[in-house]
Amino acid sequence: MDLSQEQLAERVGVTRQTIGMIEAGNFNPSIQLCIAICRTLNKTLNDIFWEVDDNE
Amino acid sequence: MNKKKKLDEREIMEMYKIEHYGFWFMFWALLASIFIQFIFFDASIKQVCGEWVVFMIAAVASSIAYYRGGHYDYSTEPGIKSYLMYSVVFTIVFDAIVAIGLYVHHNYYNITGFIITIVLFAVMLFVVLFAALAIIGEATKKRRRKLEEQLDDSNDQEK
Repeated sequence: MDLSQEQLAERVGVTRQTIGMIEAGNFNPSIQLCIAICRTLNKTLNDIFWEVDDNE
Repeated sequence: MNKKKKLDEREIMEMYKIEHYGFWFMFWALLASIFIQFIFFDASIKQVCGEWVVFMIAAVASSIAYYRGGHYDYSTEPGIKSYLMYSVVFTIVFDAIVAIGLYVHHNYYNITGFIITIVLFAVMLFVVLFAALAIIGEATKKRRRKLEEQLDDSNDQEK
């Protein structure tokens, strides 16, 4: 899904700044917001929020 | 009426943070203002009573809210160590302020009498602070246990 930060923010119901800060790791969203983002993007929590270490 | 919030959760968190710092700044500034007026400008109780009422309402309301949620402090757990540490620190700070104020406004010809007054005030302040902290701390511990029991009960009911 090709969405801009602004479009994603609008669909999820948050500001663009919030999406930007989540992406940059400067804001930890609640699990409800994580789920809302995943639903909008049609992805799982693992796909979006699981960080894979280089060692893994 | 259920007002829909116009802010998202990040904005709400930021607002809470701003309000948190604002509240604590006002709280301590209010206390400082009361002390400065009381001690350095020799203000009467009547002159500072408005500020004192606001300060006490904020202090009592926060304490009740903390107790209800089972909260005590950001950096320490309720216990003798914490009660002692806060009582000693606050006693030293307030006693020093009171000592300076008394010394500035009253002509003490008898320095021994002045020292005895300050020491007695410190002892009284320490006892009151320690007792208040111990009562609040022990009540908080009890409240935490009660909240945990309620949680266990509701978990058992769900099973």
